[in-house]
Amino acid sequence: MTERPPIGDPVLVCEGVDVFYGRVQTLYGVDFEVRKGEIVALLGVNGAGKSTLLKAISGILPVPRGTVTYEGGDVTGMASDEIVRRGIVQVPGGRGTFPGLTIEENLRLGGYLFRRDRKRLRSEIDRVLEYFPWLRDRMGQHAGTLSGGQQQQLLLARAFVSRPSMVMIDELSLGLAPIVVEQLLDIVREMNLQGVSIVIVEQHVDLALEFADRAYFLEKGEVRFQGPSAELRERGDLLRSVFLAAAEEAVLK
Amino acid sequence: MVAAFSPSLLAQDAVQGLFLGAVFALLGIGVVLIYKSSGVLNFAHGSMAMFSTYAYWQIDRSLGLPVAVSVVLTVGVGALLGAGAYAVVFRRMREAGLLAKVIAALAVAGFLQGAAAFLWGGGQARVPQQFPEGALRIGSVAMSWQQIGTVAVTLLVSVGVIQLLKRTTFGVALRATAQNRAAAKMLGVQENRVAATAWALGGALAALAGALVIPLSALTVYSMLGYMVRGFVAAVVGGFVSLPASVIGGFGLGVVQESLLAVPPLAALSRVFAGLAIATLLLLRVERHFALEQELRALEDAG
Repeated sequence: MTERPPIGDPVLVCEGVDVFYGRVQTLYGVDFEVRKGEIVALLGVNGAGKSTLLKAISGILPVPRGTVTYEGGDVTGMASDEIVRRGIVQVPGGRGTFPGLTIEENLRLGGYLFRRDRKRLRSEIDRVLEYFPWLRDRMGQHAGTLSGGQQQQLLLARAFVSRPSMVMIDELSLGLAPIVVEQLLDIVREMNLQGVSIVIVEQHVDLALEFADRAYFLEKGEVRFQGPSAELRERGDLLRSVFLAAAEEAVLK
Repeated sequence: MVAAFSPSLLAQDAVQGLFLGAVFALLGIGVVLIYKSSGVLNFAHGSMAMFSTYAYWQIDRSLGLPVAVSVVLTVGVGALLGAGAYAVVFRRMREAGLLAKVIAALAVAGFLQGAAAFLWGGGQARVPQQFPEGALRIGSVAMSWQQIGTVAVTLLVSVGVIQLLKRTTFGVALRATAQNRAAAKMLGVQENRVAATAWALGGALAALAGALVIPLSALTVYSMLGYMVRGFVAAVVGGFVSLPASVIGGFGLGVVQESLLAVPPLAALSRVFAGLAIATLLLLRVERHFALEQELRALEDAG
């Protein structure tokens, strides 16, 4: 088994980030940090602002206040394609494949950065397919015909084609059987071993704390607390009670 | 006097229908490309075709170039109009609702009509044919070379555009954007570049349609509007998603509409057939047979 590289200095730093959806503010002064080679979990109930934070980092949503830096460079408010060029790829939540496109076309878009270099694109796709050999036989099949777990695998495969240095995964486990989730997490772990920093949005707290080095807990658009997973695991009761209270409140609304 | 039904008359009308159908198909494909790329129902499509055809007239009159070269320049004008409309207006409306975009498209149409009237006086103009005078005769049915050429060019161009969407990175990116815009952006797809290209392509096809059909009628500021409505019928057949279905829809509409003229009791229906067809197609949700369920849903969500 490969030795896990040591966790390095912070690569992604968000400071005081505010984000709005239309006129509604959804993030309030969020500070968020990911170190080189680290796995960070983003926790919180639905609507807490987890996906919003990822989209703000990806350049899908504007950042009117606060700063985002990546590998020392200011990337606040940069266009999404420039963010991808800097090495950050987001795996979208929900149905994130292009259902009417074939598996091959989905992968090809994963390498959109190399679209003018066919050889490179070919070799990057081949490299990724070594982790997902079953995809190779089904390249011409429409992504929409795959099972939920297979679609999530395709999303991961697609994300790694461009050789990102950081991958942000939105709701990997949603609606999937635990055994399927384990398989997916194994793949993510493998990528992490190769030095890719990982941000993972997860509803399942125990699973996330098991998997991640550090976790952030978001509530109503603010970071409530953050820390190493081991510490948060020890304070599991506190975490669960906060989580449950927030969940209950969300239900009562 | 009521004309009697005659098979040869029917054949002659069907031939005219093929010619008009080609024009509907060219416009329909452009409407679909534009909708897929940016969610705009381009009600300026006919005006873009009209403006480009006036440019064709101007280029032909002032530059004295071979007709083929003039047509290429005209298609270029159409592409610029399309890309320009996106860059100036619709690029800023990515997050706007469908209705706002429709109103903006109507504004662009009005602007182009006004500009054409200002630049060229709005009088009737004749533009040159691209294909020789004369006709191919089979029995009692004649098809002019301009009509044959229009159908042939349309088939070639349709196959070309369909292949472009199927094989090129631009095509894959365009289809991906139509299915899941945010996911496409997360992979680095530059949606504005993709959309501007699609608009340019749509504009070029509109210019081509105008240049091919107008030599057999006459050019006024409004002369492409009826064709545009029928181009929309073609697009509806494919649910604003499928290009092959739009081509079939365009030709089908042309042939049926014109053939009705040869059937005395139904002849009066010919002029309103496009409207009836649009309503019927929408009621039957005919697009389900041509477009993937997911593609349609993605577009509905986007709208």
